[in-house]
Amino acid sequence: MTNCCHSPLLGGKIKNNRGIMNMQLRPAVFLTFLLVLFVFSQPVSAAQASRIELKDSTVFENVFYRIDKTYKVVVVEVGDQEQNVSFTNIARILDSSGKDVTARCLGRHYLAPGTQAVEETSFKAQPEVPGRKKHPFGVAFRAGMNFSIPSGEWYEGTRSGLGFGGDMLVTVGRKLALRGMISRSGARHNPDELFAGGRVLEDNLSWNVWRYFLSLQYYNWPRWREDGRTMYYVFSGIGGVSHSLSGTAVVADPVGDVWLFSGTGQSETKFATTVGGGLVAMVSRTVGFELGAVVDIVFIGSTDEYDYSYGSGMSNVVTAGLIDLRLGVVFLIP
Amino acid sequence: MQHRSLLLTGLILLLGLVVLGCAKYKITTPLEQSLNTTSSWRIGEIRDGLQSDMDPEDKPDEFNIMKLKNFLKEELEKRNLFQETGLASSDQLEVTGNILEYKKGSGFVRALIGFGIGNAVLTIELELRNRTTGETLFAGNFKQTVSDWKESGEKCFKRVAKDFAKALEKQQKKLLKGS
Repeated sequence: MTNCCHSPLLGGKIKNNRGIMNMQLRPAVFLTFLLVLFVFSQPVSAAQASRIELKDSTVFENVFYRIDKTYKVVVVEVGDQEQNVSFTNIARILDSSGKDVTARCLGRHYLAPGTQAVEETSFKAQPEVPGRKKHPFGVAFRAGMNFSIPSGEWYEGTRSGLGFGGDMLVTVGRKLALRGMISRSGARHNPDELFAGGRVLEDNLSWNVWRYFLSLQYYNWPRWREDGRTMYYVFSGIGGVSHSLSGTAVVADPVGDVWLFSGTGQSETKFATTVGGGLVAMVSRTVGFELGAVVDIVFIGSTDEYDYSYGSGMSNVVTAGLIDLRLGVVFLIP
Repeated sequence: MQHRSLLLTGLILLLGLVVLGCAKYKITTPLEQSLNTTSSWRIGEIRDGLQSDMDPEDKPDEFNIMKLKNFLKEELEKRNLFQETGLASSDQLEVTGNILEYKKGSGFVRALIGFGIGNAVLTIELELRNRTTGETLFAGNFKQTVSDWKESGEKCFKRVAKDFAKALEKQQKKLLKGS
């Protein structure tokens, strides 16, 4: 069979001389982008205020200002100079139309008139309150769908698709949980690409990708004791990805010969890492809907030669990826 | 090609460290008169200026506040800016603070997840004031972050104290040089 079976998944020949993007400069470019983004991410546009009143009785009239949320200051432009005013010293900001925008500018640091910062005694060690829960849940279960996007040369000949999976979480500390994940990836084989150069006469192949991960999750559920509605989470872990191929396909090559390709009994399990995040919108104390994204990095190996049951060849493939968009239902058990 | 890429990445990281490692504060009240080195001083109250809806368990506790005060005391004593006499009622100057942002963080999470998750953060307004007149002599908002999993989150307190002392010393030197 010539010019067919280009995917290493099927053990055929790898396409040679394929242009591969130079990966070596990517870290430097990415870091430069992040650095520029960070350095220049401070707000540059100033708003006009008709009046800014401070608690020490200082008043600025008809000035430009901007909010610096990093250092919690209001930067007031006085002539050609800038004066920093701490949030705690701001009494009132009136915009150019005279509207009071103090609460909007200071956000959660806004103190209503007449109140002042709480004294040092508020930092005393909190007494234990009987029956007061320390964690939003003890165990949680998640079931849902995933839309998998395979990425990388190793997944050549495959396409995106819908899959399913389930997770179990166990709280291990404040805002930490261990997450066990089992899922079937939605990635599917793409016969037209898999047998490029040939003509698929019959396709009964079935390619399954199962993933097993154990991760550490950090979650934040603001105001959960007061029925806060949203939980945010990120996690990172390790595990394995199992690929199995079964069934048969009948393919005609360019010269007209017909071949029967059988995938029965072929499987590969690879070490992988996972990282993901998302949010859970709670509809009750114990049930929520989850929306998230996960990236699995599958480690193919760094060997130059590979030897599959249906052929051998040369490969410089090291990693491949599975990107998932997830939607599911979460059940919390206190 | 690979060496060039590594060198470039290293240079960018170094530049990033220089930019990010600069003292992190904004002065709100610059020092206008040089300090009298015979003035006595003390560390005063550190108030809670955190978000009104913050869970009390997420706030710093009294031990954290005690450590912050000790770090401030150490850093200011190191610089011999004035004479310290402890908590005497005759102390003329006082350093007070107002915590505006606090995240305890977790070294464990920083190690295993990273990407900024689990960072310890402290933003605090610190001021040096005259106890007799109530006048604020020097003030600023100081911010520090611990993102290294090997470091304790308490490093935030130490670094903020250092930044405050250094900023005050810098202003004092500038005034003395000008006169």
